[in-house]
Amino acid sequence: MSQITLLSSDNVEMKVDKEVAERSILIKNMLEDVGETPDQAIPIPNVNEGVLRKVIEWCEHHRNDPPPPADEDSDSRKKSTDIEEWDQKFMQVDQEMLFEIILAANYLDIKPLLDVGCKTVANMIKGKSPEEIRKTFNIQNDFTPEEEDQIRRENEWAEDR
Amino acid sequence: MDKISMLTIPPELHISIFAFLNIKDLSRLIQTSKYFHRTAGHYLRRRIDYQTSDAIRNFQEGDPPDTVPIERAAFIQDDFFDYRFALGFSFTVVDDEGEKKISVHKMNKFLDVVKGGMKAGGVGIRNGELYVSKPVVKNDQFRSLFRALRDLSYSRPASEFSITSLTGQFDPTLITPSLTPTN
Repeated sequence: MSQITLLSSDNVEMKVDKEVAERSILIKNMLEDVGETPDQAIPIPNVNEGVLRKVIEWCEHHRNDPPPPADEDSDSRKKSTDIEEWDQKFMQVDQEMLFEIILAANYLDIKPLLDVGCKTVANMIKGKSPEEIRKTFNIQNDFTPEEEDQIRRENEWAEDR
Repeated sequence: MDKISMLTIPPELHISIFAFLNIKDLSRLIQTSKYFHRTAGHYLRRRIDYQTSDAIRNFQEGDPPDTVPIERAAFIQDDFFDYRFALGFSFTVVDDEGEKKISVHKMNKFLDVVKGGMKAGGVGIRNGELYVSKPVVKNDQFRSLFRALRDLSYSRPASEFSITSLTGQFDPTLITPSLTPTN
């Protein structure tokens, strides 16, 4: 099994199986463009060591997953928030790490990991009041009391959904 | 550098998160701040438009499923977010006591009135207003009503909308007497 080396933004080298690294479509395309396994480390400038290790851990666990379906539905129909058990545990991290993983998955083009991250955030929003959502994510309420009241009334219709 | 958080990730990732929220949770997120009021609000309107077009297509194909979500929000402009007009609508009821203008903010209330109106007589459009007076009992007549509602909302300036939104579940048993449980 051939291995490649990734270089994190803080200059830490990590050896990974090529197959694992290729869960990242960015890296996969890069390797295909180069045509051969590079002997130099591949720089991942946007991802630091801690996050990159976490991402690689996910890719290791999911190395044999079938590729996600290509026909990406970009419409606005709601998608399921079910997360498999291993991924749920994997995502039990602090919020900063959670959003770092989401950013890294987006940058590295690992769609299934991005989905798991976004589902985790969605599950943190689900069933909460606006105030609880603000507290959870440290969102500043920048409405005036009048605006807030109006917006609450505007959204009453959705409450019996 | 600021810590990475919900507020620092780029908007396209917020949209990826919205995709996993239902309408109720989206509407609560909308109420947290101006930013989410704008972005999640935009997303919610798109969601509603999809559901509306699905419901309209199902009706127009004459194939109403057991329960059809009916939503209308296409009249809300994309570049601003104003649910004042989406809360409900007004219509006129004609009964023994004459005409009454009624405003509703919940679809269920509306359907109760429609149901009551049909038992008493029906539902229709007169002088540009929805009213309840004549027998309307078939699904295809509901379809006509639905079209009339749609046309009505398209034909009015935003400031005068009497019909703003149909939100909720339409249960065909409310319209088809043979399916209506006796009560």
